[in-house]
Amino acid sequence: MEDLKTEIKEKVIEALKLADITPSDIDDEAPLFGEGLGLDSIDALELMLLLEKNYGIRLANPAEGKKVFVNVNTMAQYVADNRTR
Amino acid sequence: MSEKQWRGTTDGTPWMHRALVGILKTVPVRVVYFFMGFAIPVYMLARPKSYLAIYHYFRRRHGYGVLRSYYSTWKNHLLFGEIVVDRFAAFAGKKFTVDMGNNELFMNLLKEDTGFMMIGAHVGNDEMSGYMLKSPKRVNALIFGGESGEVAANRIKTLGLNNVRLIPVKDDMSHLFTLYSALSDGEIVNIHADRLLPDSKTIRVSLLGKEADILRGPFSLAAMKEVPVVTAFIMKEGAMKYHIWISRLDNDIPEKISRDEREQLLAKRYSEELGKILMKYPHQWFNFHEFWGEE
Repeated sequence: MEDLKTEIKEKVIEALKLADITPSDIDDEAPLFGEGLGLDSIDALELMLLLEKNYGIRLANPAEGKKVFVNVNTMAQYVADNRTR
Repeated sequence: MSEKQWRGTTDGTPWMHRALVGILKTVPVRVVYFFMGFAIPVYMLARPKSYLAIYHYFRRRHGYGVLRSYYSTWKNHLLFGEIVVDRFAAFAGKKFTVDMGNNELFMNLLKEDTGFMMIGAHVGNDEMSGYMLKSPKRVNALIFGGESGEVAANRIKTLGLNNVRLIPVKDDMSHLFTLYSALSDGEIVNIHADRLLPDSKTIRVSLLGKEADILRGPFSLAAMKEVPVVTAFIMKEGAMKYHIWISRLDNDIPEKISRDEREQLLAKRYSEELGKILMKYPHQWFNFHEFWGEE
């Protein structure tokens, strides 16, 4: 799971072009939106694309999105449970 | 509330809305238009900021003289009122003609399995197409307003019958997940790119010869998903007649283009198409705020 979390952080940094941030700078529990990484609505779209392209995951139920993208831990758990590649 | 925000609600009480629908069941829309013409100047004076913004639009963007701008501002408000009446008339069961023109490109898109984006603006009356035409693919229309009560219930019911689903913008961003999924499922996503919400990300484009900010989100989504993109403007051409103008935005996009560049190109083409429509139908611009900022 730790490897997956690091991988997700690397992909988030790459997809969102987060300059001067390394995976170790991102706390597993820090909120992705708002006070944590401070991501916005367009970044949310990027995260959906990231899941789809890298792990073959499509959020079938849009209501899940809010729970999946809480922090790196929730994202990693969702990927581990639902990945198709 | 900032200049670029909008309440997104229809004026009047539920009782007034019911009365208007009742009247329109028997009275021709032209009769309602006629009486409304007298009320418009009063309405304009009650909302000086809206009226001045439209006056500036005619003076500065179209280069009209003072008298023509005042007249055009009155006509713009009258047309807006007529469009609101048309929506209630549609609830009342009146049938409007919606001319699709020669839209082979659009018809082909409807036949394909892939989803596509339809980016509109606050011009004309795009809701009318939802009332009068049934799409073979589900249309997911993002709505910014906070309508409630009978107006909203009527809209949802009538549009739902024609395969249109209204997706309200929500603070938890669930609307984004819904729109993204809809595109993945081969459905149509309809967003207006000319209405900014607080903290909206924007793209700067040239519209009618002056730079203005439009929403970046629709173009980001289109570029991310690499889906076809069209503009769709439904313009009023008579008492009971509308015309749909559709243009494809993603034709001949260079292959080796970055996603950011694709977004910029789509936004540029959108503003060009919107500009053409506003030159053809100058009185049907319904952004009642200083869209280009204070000058």
